[in-house]
Amino acid sequence: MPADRFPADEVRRVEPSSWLAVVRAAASGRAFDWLGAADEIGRSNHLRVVCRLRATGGDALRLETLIDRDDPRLDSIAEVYPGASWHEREARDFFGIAFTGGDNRPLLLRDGFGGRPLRKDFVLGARVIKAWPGGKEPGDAKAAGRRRMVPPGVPDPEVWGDREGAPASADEVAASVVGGRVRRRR
Amino acid sequence: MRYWDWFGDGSLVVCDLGLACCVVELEAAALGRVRLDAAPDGAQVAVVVAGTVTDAVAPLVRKRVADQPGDPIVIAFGACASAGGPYWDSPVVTKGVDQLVAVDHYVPGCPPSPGALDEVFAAHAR
Amino acid sequence: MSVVPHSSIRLIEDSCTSCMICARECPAWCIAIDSHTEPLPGSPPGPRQRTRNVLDSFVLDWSLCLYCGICIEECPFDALEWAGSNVAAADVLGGLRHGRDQLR
Repeated sequence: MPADRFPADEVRRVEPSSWLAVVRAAASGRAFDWLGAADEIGRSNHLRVVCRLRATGGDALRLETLIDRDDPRLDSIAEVYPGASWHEREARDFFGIAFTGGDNRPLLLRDGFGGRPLRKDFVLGARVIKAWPGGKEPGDAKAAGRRRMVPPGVPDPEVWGDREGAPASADEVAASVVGGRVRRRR
Repeated sequence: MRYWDWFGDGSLVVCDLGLACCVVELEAAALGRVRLDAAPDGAQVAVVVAGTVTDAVAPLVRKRVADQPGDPIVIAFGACASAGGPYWDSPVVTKGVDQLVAVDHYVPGCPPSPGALDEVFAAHAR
Repeated sequence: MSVVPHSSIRLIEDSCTSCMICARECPAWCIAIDSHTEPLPGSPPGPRQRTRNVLDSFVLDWSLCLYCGICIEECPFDALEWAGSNVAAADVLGGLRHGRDQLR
């Protein structure tokens, strides 16, 4: 299929304070496609919220905003697109974003589930308990290699665990999540 | 509870616990078999757990197996039901239905082929 | 080009260098490899002696494998390939952990 069948989205960066107004202004002639979020840790201390709108039979518009990772709140767009409510509830479950004026009931996670599992510093217990088979070096009979390797997607215990001194910075957590060699800090 | 009469003779009836996409293969394997509304007296019951067992549905899975008459055969159909499969690291997924109930057969695959289930039952019929 | 159904994965031991790439790339962490280093025959002893990795064990856990084929794609030595036959059911979970003999 030729690449121009999938033209790149038009992307507009929006200030969080004008999120609802921009969505409302863009809504005419466009349908809601999806809303999601991403953890920007390592690049900046933000969560990125993305809303994709699609003109009927036409091009897509992607609205993006960065909100404070430590106090993530944003106006709900459910009054413009009621269907966005489920997406917002999902983002609330997985990233801990509070949508002002929206429906903030849990959607997929039970109340009382500890943590926000799609934030990159969320530690997956299963990956901590099980030894990573890739941690060995070729030819190494023992589990621990000379070089310390951590698997992709798992923050290194040096970074996420209780440790002496200052808590890990965002870029340390992000670097350890990518996998590969771990930079030890004293 | 509904069952498939697997061999059409009332000897083995199959209860499906379709929890995720593996149920598509299970239904393909069951295509054309007779549906029953209850297990006939004396029939061997088999419970096929097809799909991802989440912690949220774990109590229901346990109850559904406990409610079966007789001593049911439990089959973990596919990687998720066997050990969590691709969701082995999820914070909300039970790492295999054998953490809830005793399992008699583990069928690998993501998904397994419908024929894999036939092989398991054929071995039981012998 | 013939299409091989994604039914199981075969290990071609002679091609495997125990490089660990498949084990590291597997998203399900279902491949475990043990290997050790031996002097290369004919390489003179000393600090510059050349060595090779010898495969001790290769275990693929079919209870976790999602048949994504990343291990096959990533292997630089084409030591893994799709094979046609289904992996048989097991009566214990550990029975789905297949070693070198079953992966041939």
